[in-house]
Amino acid sequence: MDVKIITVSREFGCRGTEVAEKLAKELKFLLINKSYINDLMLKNGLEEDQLESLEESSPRPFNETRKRYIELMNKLILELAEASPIVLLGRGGQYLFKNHPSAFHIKIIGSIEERVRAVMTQYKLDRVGALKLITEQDRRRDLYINRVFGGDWNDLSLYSLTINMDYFDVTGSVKMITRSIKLANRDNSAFSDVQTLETPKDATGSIPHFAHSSEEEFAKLLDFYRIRWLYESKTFILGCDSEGNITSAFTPDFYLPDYDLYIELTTQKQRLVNYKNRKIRRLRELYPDINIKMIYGRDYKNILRKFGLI
Amino acid sequence: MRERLLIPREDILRRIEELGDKISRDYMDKEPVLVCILKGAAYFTVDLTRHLKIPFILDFMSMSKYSGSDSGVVRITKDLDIDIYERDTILIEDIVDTGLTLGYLLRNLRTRGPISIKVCTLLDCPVRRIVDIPVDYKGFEIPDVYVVGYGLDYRERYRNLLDIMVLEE
Repeated sequence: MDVKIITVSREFGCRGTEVAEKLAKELKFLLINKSYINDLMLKNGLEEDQLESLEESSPRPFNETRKRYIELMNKLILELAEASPIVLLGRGGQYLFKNHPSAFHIKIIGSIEERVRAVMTQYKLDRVGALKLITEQDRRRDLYINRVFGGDWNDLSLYSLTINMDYFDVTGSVKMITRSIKLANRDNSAFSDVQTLETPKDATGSIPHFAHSSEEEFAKLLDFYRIRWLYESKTFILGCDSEGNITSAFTPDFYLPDYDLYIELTTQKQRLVNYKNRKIRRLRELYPDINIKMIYGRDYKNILRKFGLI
Repeated sequence: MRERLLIPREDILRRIEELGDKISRDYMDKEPVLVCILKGAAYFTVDLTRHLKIPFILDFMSMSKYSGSDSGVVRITKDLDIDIYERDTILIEDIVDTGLTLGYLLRNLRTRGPISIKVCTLLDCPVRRIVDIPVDYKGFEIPDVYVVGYGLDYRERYRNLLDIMVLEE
């Protein structure tokens, strides 16, 4: 397991925000918290008064506008996670990245007594006021998960690790999290070496059956650079007979959805290369908008050489 | 392996001076962050900065290199020391070929909220491109050959050559 996404879900008044901040700093992961999301959304066209709609604790109703803003935010968070390791604070990260192979989900909890004490100090409230605030904040976060993801915030099976802050301070929690991730890395890689490390998976998480070893090697190279790919995802019809039966078709080896690019590897004999060249010429004539690149045997050799593999 | 001269040192230095002038004009009244991608771009970056007539901040980045099946995913092994949030940023590479490394770097740096990111490379090898990456400043366009020298290596050798050479079998 190669952890690139850490989500931190927290009960109100448990210092979960501090844990996420310290964790991101120590691991040098990008921290996606309220201020980061606000900046991001302002750059993506939202106005200042619309930002509150994005927060789990917002009292605003879940109308279509709010749902649309949240969908946009979620899309941008998913894109950020493609580009960089992240620590995501709240925002339903445990659902947004549920079953993601590189995600590690943390839940921070505490006893109601300790949380009341912390909130009384932080917000200068009496006991009744603190209890009321905690109850309301937890209720809204619960509602957010339910309305956005149809999920249950209190489902403990969502989390890789749950920490009770009655027993740990922020520094201790961060140490425990980083240690747990290391243990998860070791145990998972030892347990499922073949599935997770040796065999590349496509953008849908499927393990394709590669026709040639060079294709599998190329898929690993794309995985290394975190480029999403699909293997033989589309067949283009190149010719039909008078009765409409397909007489010629071409299926490129790879499709890179983020670049809208098809790639064909040809590491075979020259005769086959000529055959493929003809097909690609025909493909370009019939589908001029398709972006396709051929990687020839010599190109592929140069790529391997560049990485010192030959 | 034998070496063949591709770009002599005089041409390299003259072209770098031109690039320095152009960047200085384009970034007049600005103070860009120059991000040198280690190790290959170190020589180029140093010489380029000597021809800049604008203030700038120099920083370095380094990434893990693909080394075969068990490489996992790319990792930043040396991150920037400064924050590029709301800064003009110029990424300096020795060579842009497949675009895979640069594509990852651009995706990563864009998440940090810079005003702009441009790419400056000494060598551009477009025929080897897999993913399209915009190159804003380029020294030389080269054919599909394996080059060493002036920072570029083959298994850590040849970096200190003053000229750019083609390495042939």
